[in-house]
Amino acid sequence: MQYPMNTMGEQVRAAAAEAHVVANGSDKPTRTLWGDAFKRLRKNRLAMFAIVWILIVVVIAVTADLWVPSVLGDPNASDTATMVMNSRLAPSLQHPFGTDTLGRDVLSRVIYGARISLTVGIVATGISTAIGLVMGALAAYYGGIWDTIIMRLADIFLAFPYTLFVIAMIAVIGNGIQNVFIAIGILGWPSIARVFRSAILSVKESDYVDAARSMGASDARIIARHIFPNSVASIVVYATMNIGGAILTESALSFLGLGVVPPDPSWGTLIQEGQKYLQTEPWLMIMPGIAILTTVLAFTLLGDGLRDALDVKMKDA
Amino acid sequence: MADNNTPLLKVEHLTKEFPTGSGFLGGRFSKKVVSAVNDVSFEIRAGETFGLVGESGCGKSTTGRAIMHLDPPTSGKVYFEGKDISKMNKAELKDMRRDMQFIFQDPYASLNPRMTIGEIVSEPMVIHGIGTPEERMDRVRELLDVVGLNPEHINRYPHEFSGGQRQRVGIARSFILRPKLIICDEPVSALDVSIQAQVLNLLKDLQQQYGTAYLFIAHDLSVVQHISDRVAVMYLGKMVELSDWKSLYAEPNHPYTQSLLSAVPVPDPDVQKSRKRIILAGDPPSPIDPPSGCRFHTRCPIAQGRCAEEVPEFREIGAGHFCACHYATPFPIKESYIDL
Repeated sequence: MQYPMNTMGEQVRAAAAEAHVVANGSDKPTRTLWGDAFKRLRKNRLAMFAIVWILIVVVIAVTADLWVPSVLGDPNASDTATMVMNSRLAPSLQHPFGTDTLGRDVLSRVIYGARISLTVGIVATGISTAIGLVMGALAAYYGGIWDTIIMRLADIFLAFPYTLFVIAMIAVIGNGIQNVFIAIGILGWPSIARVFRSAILSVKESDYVDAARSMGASDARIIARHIFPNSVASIVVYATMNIGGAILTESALSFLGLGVVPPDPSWGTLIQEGQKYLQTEPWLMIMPGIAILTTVLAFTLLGDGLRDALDVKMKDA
Repeated sequence: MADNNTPLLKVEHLTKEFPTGSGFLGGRFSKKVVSAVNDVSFEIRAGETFGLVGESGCGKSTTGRAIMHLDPPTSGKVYFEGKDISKMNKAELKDMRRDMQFIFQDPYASLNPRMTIGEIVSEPMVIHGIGTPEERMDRVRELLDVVGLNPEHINRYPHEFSGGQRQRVGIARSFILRPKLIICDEPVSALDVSIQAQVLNLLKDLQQQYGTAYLFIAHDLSVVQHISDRVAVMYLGKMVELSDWKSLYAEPNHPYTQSLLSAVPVPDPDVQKSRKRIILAGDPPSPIDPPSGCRFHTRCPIAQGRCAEEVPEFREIGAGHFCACHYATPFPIKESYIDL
């Protein structure tokens, strides 16, 4: 009983102190939108876990060349002796995730797979976002016939089952990592365009944009100061979540043998290689699976956190 | 250029129509229009308050927006200090906007949530290139003080303020360039009654201080009465009656004005009980297909055959008192209409 009472008292005192500061009129220094958003994000524990996890994965992936081959072994090792000796070892201190059929260290391959998966996620989302922003902005600003053409085109794209569409595109342009970027990137634009278009439309009709127009503000000023800052948040959120989606799509493609070409390790190819041994050596499949799960989840949680943090109507900054 | 006889704002035969329908290709092939404002004319003199009342959807806000050229009028002319707004080029229009400002109804929607109070209030100065950043901030602090806000809150965001405070921010913004005319589009109807009086008094004080003219749009006759010199009543896009507020409130001539005034509640319960109200039947007709002749004839208690055929002229029935009704009769508001 004692403890909760104490913490409650603490909170009340803190709130009172804060109110006192406000009442004294001693105002906070100028705060920026992104500074405030970051402050709110820091209070969101799940989002902070997600950021930390993404940072860890990124740092490991970026620095992999420096230490992974010497510590864990070459992910693409191919000398016959190690192949036979180390084939499908169970996880141990030396090989924390075990080894695969060809005696290659699975952790090392998962780390190199992270490089590919993260790159695909970020590059493909970059492509989708770039196309989607331009298309969404065109549709919303010019309206009328542009809006109709672009949005009906988006509807057509969305009418196809997404994965099937990507597979069809890969079948046309061939597999390999660059084509995976292109296929996932190009086919991802319609949802971004829709989100951005509706964000712009709702802001465009708002009273504060009318207010700016009534003051005589130029179009450039209205777009830069009023429309863009108020519509971009939804895109940041959407793009963050989209990275996770792109990683998943790439894994699915690689799993089907349509994405990254072996021996390059991507999380999808690793699962595909490991699935044959699910009953005897399950770590071959589970470890890359966990990598996908945690990373995609991290991007989703981060997107969620960003959405809350970028909402200015949320109290206390 | 603008001598004393030129009204500050002159509106002539203002008409605003919106295309309707949202069918294939945005309905651009449909011929139907919403006639939101139809042939409205009036003048506003420097320093006066012109009240514009009517129920929701009667076109009073559209009138304000058309004057501001936020939605350019379909036809008709708006003269500001004798100059035709529709003939102005971009630079002239921008200059005109220094002198004509807007206060919005919804204080939650009219302030950009991503800008600080200082940025919001100083924006008109920035747009018109007035002053250095320091001078602007000094002016903002001064104005925040005038409208009753703490000047030290200059770096706060709109969401940190209450509705009444936000409306004060909007008022500060509209006054920072010392405009000659402010179009107030229901500036208090989103606020609590207790706050309404404060904001109305603030607007009155500011008018005395700066000599600004107001076009005051409202749906609440008692609010308009509190602030206006002259009042115009609109119904379904048409102006039905225009007069100085005393004669409008004492002797409304148009049956629509009469029914509106009879609906204003009286704080004395005995009087309220004994009063006979004119209750209009039904809803206002759709502005897509307005009634022929007098637009009010479908709900008018004294309508006759002629009303459905002939559009009543907006004629002067007394000194400065205009009314658009074939059978307008002065109606002392204390008595009952029903027994006539």
